Amino acid sequence: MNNPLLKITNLELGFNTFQGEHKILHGLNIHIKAGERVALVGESGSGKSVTARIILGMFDELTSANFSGDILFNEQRLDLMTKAQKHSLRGKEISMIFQDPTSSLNPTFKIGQQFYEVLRTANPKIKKQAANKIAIDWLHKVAITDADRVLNSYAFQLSGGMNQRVMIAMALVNKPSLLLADEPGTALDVTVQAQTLNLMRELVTQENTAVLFISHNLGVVREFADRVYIIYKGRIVEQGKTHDIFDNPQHPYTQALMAAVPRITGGGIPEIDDTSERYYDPIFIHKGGEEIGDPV
Amino acid sequence: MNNTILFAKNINKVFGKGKDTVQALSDVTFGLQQGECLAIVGESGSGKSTIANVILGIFPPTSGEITFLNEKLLPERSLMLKKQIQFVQQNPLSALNPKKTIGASIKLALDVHNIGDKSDRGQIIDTLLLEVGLPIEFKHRLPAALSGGQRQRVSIARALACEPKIIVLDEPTSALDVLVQARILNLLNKLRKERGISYIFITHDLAVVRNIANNVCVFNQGKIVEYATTDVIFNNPKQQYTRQLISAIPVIDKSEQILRNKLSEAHNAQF
Ligand SMILES: Nc1ncnc2c1ncn2[C@@H]1O[C@H](COP(=O)(O)OP(=O)(O)O)[C@@H](O)[C@H]1O
Ligand SMILES: Nc1ncnc2c1ncn2[C@@H]1O[C@H](COP(=O)(O)OP(=O)(O)O)[C@@H](O)[C@H]1O
Ligand SMILES: [Mg+2]
Ligand SMILES: [Mg+2]
Repeated sequence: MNNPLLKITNLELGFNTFQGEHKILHGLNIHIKAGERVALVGESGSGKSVTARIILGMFDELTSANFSGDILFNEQRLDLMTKAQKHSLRGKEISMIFQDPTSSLNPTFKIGQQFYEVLRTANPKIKKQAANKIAIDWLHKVAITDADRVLNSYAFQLSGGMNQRVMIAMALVNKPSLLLADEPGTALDVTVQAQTLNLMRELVTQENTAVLFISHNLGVVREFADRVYIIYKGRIVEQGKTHDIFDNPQHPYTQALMAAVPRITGGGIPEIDDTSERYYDPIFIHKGGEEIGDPV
Repeated sequence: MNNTILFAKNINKVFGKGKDTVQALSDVTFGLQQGECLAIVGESGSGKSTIANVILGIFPPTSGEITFLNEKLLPERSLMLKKQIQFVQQNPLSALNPKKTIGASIKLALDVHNIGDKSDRGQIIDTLLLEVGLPIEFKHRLPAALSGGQRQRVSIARALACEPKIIVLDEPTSALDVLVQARILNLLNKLRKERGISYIFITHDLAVVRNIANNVCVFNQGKIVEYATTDVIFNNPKQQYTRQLISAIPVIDKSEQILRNKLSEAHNAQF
């Protein structure tokens, strides 16, 4: 049996506060196979971004953050790696795209320079000219035709949609096996968002890149992901293949979320509780949504 | 039938001078009926907030005029006019004074517009909080101690306190989670029906519009490209720009998918 590319087991997270520990994640189990597009969906504050941050090791030095659980990436225990080992994975084996491209790109360097730095993390000896060629090639892949101009620009000189494409190209240029995409395109207009996500989906399919796609938008998830985890207050409440989750939601919380989404076909908006005891019901796992042989 | 409460006629708004001018609104004309929810939709930068500001009298149009209850609105608004056209914005935290309790914020609106007897104002505040679905004890809290949805309810209560004829809502649910959004939309619907208020509902979210508005103005680059009933906009839009906008909306069920496909085919057929 092939092991998954990423396997998170019993992930717990709490932050120390003046009132004691504030628990955020209550034992998440998530797995992603090579090349698989997996979504983590839930409301704000449910624990989506912190999950991505833990995978990237961003809480390792934060003394107020306590976390436990196994994180297996490519058969290696991420949670046991040294800082240097983790650092060498980042940007190469695992890369990340954030919600707001304009603020995640460095404002003081031209796009071309930033591409060069990204390429150097994978190949420290790469020459500027070679890097430039690769960058142009990748900008073409994200449908940027005037690549020379873009490489010579600063992020603030480009539109939001253009910056998001640049981010996608930079995130994929080192051919990572895993991409963490946290609310990509949320800040963009729907028409631009639709184009950007289509492009991203085509590229990760071509490159066989696995994606953890974090979003609060059910519609976007339905179009992007093969498989879905629904998260509520730090607990996975339902998981399954995308069409099973959308055509046949089983958990009360998932059902409430789906009912609350306004439809373009109309029908009004039903009265739905924004909190309920039933949202804490045990997890529902659809057939085909589990990892075979895995205790969940 | 003529219950037109507000009419915007040939509104233009130009910002800046010389080569830096931006024509934010071009020849915008629409009417608002009593009790109607009129949606203004468009992508970012299409002029939605600019028309809101012009209606609220925050700045005057460059040309064109607005009539309210058959009277021409002047750049200098009387207190009475300010009371009758209220505003609810996207981020309720920036709209509420962080140092004032919820009760004090609502009371200020009652005091400024001299609504009710002084001795009754405490009672009015309680009634308003209940009407927007908040516990009365919340009047002692500061905005920071409330969730986003609760703060938006406070903004709505404060607007209602003024007994307005019109509420301009600029992306009122765009920062909220979908479950919270559903509850706020239902609250807004209920208040409109019970009180006969009119809404100008500004948003970039067409799916929300479908479920809340009677009529829709589609804005693109400061112009109204299509103005029709909500049914026509979603089932039989005349403009390809409108079809393109609807076709880009991520949807979650099959009947939505069918509608979207139908509209995008009609869109593609034009080329
Ligand atoms: N560095 C931190 N210190 C304390 N609390 C945090 C920190 N980062 C996130 N949190 C809290 O963790 C919870 C989950 O946050 P997050 O993962 O960002 O939510 P989302 O699902 O919206 O991405 C929130 O309640 C947030 O306030
Ligand atoms: N105070 C201002 N000065 C100059 N330009 C402005 C100002 N306010 C808005 N604009 C411009 O007017 C256009 C419409 O803006 P706005 O009404 O805020 O759009 P929307 O609310 O639809 O996103 C944009 O091009 C914007 O940059
Ligand atoms: Mg987040
Ligand atoms: Mg605006």
